[in-house]
Amino acid sequence: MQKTSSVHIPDPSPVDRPGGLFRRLSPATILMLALALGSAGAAFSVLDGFLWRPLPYPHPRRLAMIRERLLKTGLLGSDVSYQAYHGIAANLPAIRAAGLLDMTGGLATFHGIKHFVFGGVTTPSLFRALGAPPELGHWLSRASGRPGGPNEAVLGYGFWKSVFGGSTHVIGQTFGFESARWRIVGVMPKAFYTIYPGADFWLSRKLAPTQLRDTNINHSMIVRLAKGETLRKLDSALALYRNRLVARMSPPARQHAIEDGLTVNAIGLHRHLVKLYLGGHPEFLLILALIALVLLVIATANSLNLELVRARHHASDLAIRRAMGASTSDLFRLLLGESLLTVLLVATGALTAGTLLTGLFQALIRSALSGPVTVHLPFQIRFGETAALFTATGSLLLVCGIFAAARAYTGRESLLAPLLHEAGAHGTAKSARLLRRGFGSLQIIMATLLLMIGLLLTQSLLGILGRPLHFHPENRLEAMVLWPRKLNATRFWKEAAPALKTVPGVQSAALGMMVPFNTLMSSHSVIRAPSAPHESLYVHAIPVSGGYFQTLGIRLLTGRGFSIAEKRQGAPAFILGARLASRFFHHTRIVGQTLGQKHPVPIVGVVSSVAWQATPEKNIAGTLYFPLGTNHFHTTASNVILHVRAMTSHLEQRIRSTLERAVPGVAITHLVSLTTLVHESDRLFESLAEITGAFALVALFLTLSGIYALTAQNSLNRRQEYAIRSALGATPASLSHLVLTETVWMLGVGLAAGFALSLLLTHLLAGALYGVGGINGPADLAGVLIILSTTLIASWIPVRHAFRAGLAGELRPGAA
Amino acid sequence: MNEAAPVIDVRGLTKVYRTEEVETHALTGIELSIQPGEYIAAMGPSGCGKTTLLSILGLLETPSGGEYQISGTPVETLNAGERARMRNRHIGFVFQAFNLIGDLTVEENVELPLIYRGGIPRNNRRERVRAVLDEMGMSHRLRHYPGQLSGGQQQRVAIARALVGEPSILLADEPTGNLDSKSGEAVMELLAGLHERGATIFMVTHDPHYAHFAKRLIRLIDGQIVDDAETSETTFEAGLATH
Repeated sequence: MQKTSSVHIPDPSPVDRPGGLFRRLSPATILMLALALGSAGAAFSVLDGFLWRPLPYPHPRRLAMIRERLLKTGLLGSDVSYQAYHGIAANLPAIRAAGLLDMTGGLATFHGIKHFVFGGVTTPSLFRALGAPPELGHWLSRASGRPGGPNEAVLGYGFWKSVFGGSTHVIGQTFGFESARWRIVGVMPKAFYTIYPGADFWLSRKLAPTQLRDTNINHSMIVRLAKGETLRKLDSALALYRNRLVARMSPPARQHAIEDGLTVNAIGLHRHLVKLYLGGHPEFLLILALIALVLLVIATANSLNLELVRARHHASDLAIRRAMGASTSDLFRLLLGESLLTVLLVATGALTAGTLLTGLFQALIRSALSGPVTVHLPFQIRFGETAALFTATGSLLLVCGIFAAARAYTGRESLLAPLLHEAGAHGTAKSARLLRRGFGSLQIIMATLLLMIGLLLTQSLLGILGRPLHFHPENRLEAMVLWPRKLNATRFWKEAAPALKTVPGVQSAALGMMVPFNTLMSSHSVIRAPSAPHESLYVHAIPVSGGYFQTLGIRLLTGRGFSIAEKRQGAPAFILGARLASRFFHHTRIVGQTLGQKHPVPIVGVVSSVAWQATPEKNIAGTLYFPLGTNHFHTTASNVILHVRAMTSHLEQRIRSTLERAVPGVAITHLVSLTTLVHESDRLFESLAEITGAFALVALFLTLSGIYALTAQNSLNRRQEYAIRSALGATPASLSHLVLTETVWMLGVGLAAGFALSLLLTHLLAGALYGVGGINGPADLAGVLIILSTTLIASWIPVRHAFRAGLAGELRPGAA
Repeated sequence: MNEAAPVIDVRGLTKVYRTEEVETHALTGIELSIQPGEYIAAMGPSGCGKTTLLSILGLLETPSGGEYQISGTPVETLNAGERARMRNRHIGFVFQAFNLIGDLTVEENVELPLIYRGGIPRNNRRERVRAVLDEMGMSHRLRHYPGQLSGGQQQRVAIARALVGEPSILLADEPTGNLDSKSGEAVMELLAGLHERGATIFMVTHDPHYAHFAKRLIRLIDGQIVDDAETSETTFEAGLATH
């Protein structure tokens, strides 16, 4: 160590000095803006993929789905009846082409090899409505849709590649499906998509004249609007059609139609798909956009605040440069270079963050949509050119805006300095402090809001995960099965049940049209309340075999299960879920009552209200069960439920082989545990919470780093004041108090306003999110404590650092 | 020399600044005793350690070695809070750059030491502040901000702030350094008047003319006291020679 006698007092103040361009940049500003813009870019990618990127059809905005709905019953799907299809397609000039589509599936035989297939049965006109040209061959011919016409099939791209290896010789080949031979006439391109995900083929539907009077609402209808027509115009035409339809009905049918709230209207195909693939929760996109916006506000407020504080140093820096002989153009070049370099760094960081976050979102959404059947999204979510342009433009505008605002504020101060000197220079210092507090408060408001949204979703998710299922998913397996058309459900089960009971490890087995958390298959009906004959309710109406409740672990609350006579002979009897029972028979004895007006059916028991899916069903009034053998139940597919001792892959194979041996021709589409189904149903909500949680953490980080940087810069600026106060006897504690007062002020305003906003948001989202109400003590308290503690720590660290560095040097002339 | 108990008593005081490469001895073996009512000026060339000595005497910095007592109380081992309280009770500062807080009015600036002392009702504080400002001829500028005052006026406010807590000693660091000669002279007259009324003053200056206002003069060179005498024994020329 060198020893010297000359005295040199080290300057502890690391104040910015004129220097290289990189030294003039604020890493905090760059990091905050890049992170926020990257997040916004990623959110933009998701919104772009879902909302703005056109579907792969010509003029996709002219595609719509027609919906026949019974508003007052809760039947709010997107289906129509054959009767409505026929009436609308043939008579409305606003529609250029219309097609009808139904889902189908089962075993198909290609060259003697059986494949389980899934696809659509459609009128040939569907392809004309969608307008996408085939990859190979042609669309279904018009003749194939007429009674007596040829059976034609168009293959999906994936199926063509996997089964036929993409061979062009596939055209003209035939295959067997549902006791008929089908001739392949075309292959659709990879991007082609109807409302069903991953269809293997589309078969021609032949509509007989008698079918055209069928009023069951369970078919999908896609239309293409004529040129110049709009959805609004189509809706008006559909309303007129509905009125004509009701006018032609018999008086009782007309009365029912009016009482049930029959409406016919249209929804854009794109919008329908968004609703369909977001699990009925399109508000997810709104929340995502809101979160991205909040992040941008936080980062902008942060950066503006920081740049305002830094601008004072820059002003003196520029003054020194000018004194040293720098011309206006020199200074302009310096500022331009500084701004452009910042834009470049922010844009690079934002594009990187955006790409990474979009990849994360893709993975989360894919994981949320994976279930028993792999779902391919019709939407392309990627960080594409539009998102990149959005991010880069955002970087340019935001950085330039922030720099301009900061410089303008400092410029105003310099301009007014002579006047202010007379009128009270303290005015600018106070206004700057107010401005700083205002931006700081805004940051905390936004961080509180975002954290509360995160907590809200977490609370909702926990509510979903923790809500009572009223069945036991543990050690339960579910197999979706399709059997040959010659069998009905009763005959299938008569052959399958005894065989399944012989499998070692199987404790009980049952058949039911619906299984909790398997949304692929459902069974619904509209029933009329006995206590209020004018009230119709949309309910789950589920045919079940004997042992259904026992196998699933559903508790019988009152009455009895189905009798042997009811089970074997299909004698009419209903067992009601508790929710439906309480709605119909409040304060009255239920067992022994009847449901139905023309053919009253006795209610024999009441069971617990089963949770059929992850979130409560908004439109379903409840559940009623009836015996499998009831006459009006015809299907070739259902769900087998098994209660097993333990789950093993060996057991699964035994079950499959036993079923295939017992019922020749049966196809098992999947065999999964109910625990897996429940878990996969929760994935969407977990993903939502993960995305929001990640954003909330980013927001918290941005806010804290902003407050840290601000307090650090502020402490640096006020070191002389601290030194003066210290010289006059202020203790470290009182100095800390002085500094933290500003933080506490921002915290007070920020937390109060943020909390009020989050309450408002809670109120708005209460209908959309499960278990979310008003104030939630523990969660809200946790949010407030997180913001409070982390902000105080972020403020305290730089203050402590400033005090540790020593303040005596600040009292010397020129230290300011 | 006054034989009463010293306000400040320093024995063998040293101050060393250390960086990774250089060890700088700012003060070495300082022996200094200041009696109540004394008016001392410290002189020396730039970098000789005058301000460092004043900072240590004012408890703004800690010595590297030696003993230091204020009114008989050892202060080397005090923690930051105790040092702050001691500073508030015993020491009044007058700085070259005035060091008034720009966001506070004259009245608020002068009131600060009384606020930090604690336990003084607001009315009493304000009464005391007005009395001191009146004494300094600044009571008509109570509501003004420092930016609205001339340098001389700011320094008078700073002296008022230093006096308001009735400290044991006034430490003045180049109190005329930022003033024109007329204002500087006025400030020095003010300090002399205070001394006449019994105030103890330790002033750092490099101006022999102003040093002459003090009754005792110490000279520092390279961090050591090389001369300590009554001002009447010190030649004016010698002061000029060191300047």
